[in-house]
Amino acid sequence: MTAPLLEVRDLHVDIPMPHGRLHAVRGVSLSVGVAESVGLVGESGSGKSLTLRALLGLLPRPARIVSGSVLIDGEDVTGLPAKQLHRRLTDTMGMVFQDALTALNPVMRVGDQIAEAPLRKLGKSRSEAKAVAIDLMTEVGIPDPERRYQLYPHELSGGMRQRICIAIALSTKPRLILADEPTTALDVTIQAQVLGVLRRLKQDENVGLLLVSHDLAVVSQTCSRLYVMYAGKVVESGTLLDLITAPKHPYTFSLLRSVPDPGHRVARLLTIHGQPPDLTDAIVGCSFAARCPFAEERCRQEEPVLEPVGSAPGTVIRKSACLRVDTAERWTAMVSEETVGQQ
Amino acid sequence: MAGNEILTVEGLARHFTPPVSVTDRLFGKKPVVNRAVDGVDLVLHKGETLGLVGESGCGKSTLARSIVGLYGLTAGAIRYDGELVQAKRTRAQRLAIQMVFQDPFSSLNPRMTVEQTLSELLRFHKLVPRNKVGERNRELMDLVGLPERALKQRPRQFSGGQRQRVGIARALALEPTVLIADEPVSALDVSVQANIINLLTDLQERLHLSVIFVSHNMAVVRQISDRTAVMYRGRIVETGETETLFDDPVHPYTKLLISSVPRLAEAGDVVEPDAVAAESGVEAAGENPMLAEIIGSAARGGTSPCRYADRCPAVVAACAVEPSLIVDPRDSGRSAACVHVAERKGVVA
Repeated sequence: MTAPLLEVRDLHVDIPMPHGRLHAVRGVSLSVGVAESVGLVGESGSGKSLTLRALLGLLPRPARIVSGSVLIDGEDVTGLPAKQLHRRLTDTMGMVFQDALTALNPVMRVGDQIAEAPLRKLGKSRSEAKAVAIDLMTEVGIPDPERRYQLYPHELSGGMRQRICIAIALSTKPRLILADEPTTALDVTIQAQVLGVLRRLKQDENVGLLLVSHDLAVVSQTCSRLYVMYAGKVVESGTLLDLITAPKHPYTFSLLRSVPDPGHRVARLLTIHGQPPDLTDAIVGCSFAARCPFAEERCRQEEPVLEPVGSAPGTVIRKSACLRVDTAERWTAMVSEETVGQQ
Repeated sequence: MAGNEILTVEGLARHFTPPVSVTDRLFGKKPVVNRAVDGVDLVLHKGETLGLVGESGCGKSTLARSIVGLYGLTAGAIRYDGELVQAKRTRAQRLAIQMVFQDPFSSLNPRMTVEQTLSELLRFHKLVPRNKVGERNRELMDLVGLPERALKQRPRQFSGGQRQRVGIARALALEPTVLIADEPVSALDVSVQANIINLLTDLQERLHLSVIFVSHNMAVVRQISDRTAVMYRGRIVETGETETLFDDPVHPYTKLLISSVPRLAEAGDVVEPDAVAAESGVEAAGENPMLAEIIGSAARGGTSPCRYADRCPAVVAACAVEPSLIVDPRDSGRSAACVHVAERKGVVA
């Protein structure tokens, strides 16, 4: 088996706070294969965005990486000198941010922003760089690229701006795009178009995608494999189909039943009680135990480990961090009993 | 259905005129009027939840705020329980229509405890005798599912979901019959949204409230509302029973909106970007010869063309005159502002 394009091992990120430190990412390991699209799902505060930013050395102050290693093509790049490391990371990955307006330079023509990397990094001439930029604009579905090359960010709509950002991310010819909630600030009709652009990149250009989102539906539209994060840890991973048809972690299970589906209406949404734990404290036991409908005494004491669960050999490894994973088949029945009991 | 209306909105418009600087005025520059809400007819029946959906900037929040009375009306009228709501509302009307705001972080006074916030309302409006205020406070907490000790806390001590519960308690303190909820779950995390949706559903049943639920989230609206109205650029373009509207949208914009909503893709359920893009392609439609013709004939006739024409894949000559809501011949509970609605009869026999 060839080494994955990108691998992260046991990443820890801390944010120093006035009272102690906030342990925001608590040992995340993940991998993305060549031309694979992977989703990282979690709600705010789960550490998904920090994980993504840590990868490119874009952590906001004062957050810092405590430990962990990043492997590109199986080679550990963590120990490289800062400049080389930066070069290695930016050669491999491009990033798309949530808010396209603040991510772009407001006083520079959008075309020049796309051409900047080919010009400075890939050593192209001015006219070559411009041609590359116009090609990229066509590729991300911007009509009339020659005219739009000359415009400034504020002259473009939200969807167009996000496409410019995707074009910039592609301008260094990366093999992987990291996207942090790329459609959250967009209207649904525009969101559908941007998701289409991302999907097409994977199909036509063999560019991998690591997409971070709080919205399972958005992720399911673009990714084939998922990591679900909760309180700074990956609690479940596996293929999209496995995760949404037969979740093996109570958090994924509850999330799927608490989010309304546009396709049909349910009698009552499942509610997840309480809130995520405070990450400045050490967490004893399972971090989801306090909100879990199936938690028992040992869940509050023992910390579950992310372990492979019943996958057939040769398939994508399915992992879950739940002590009661053996009862997963009965969860649906258990929840419906409970809601009946409440009424 | 007639006689069952609690609230009717007739031709409501709310325009905003930005200030023009003195120098610009000297040169005779006219302000550009923003027609945020531009002629809306809406009916809210007793005890129903009406979903109001649309994309950002379509005027749904402005409409909600106008109904509550936070904005004056540029044109049109609002009737509450059959009576015309004047610019200066009667006490009963002010109490009866209450609002839940989107952002539970900025809509509560950070320096007041929940008890102070609620007591102030109850005393000011003299809703309960002074010695019963405490009791009513506890009742309200119970109603929105917060513990009694929450009364002694300030907004910052609550999580987003709890704060939204306080926001709901604040609205309910005035014993309203109509609740306008403007994006009440949009600021909340996905795992907390369900709590508030369920709470609103319960309250609506228990207190026989009539609710207008404003949201950009189609899935949430489908879950909570009995009827849905779709807004586009300041007008209602389609309204009907939620189930039928979602399953069989009539207006091209509703179709686009519903097909754009990402769904959990279990097996090949992917929203086809090309189909959506083709349907919404602003640029593509710009080259549509029919569109230019419509704009031309609208200009000659002094009418305004259908506001969706520039994005619509099905423009015809008749679109030069903006249609008002036309009742679907197959379903009297449904209407859409599209010239194609009348043809619907032939499609489904």
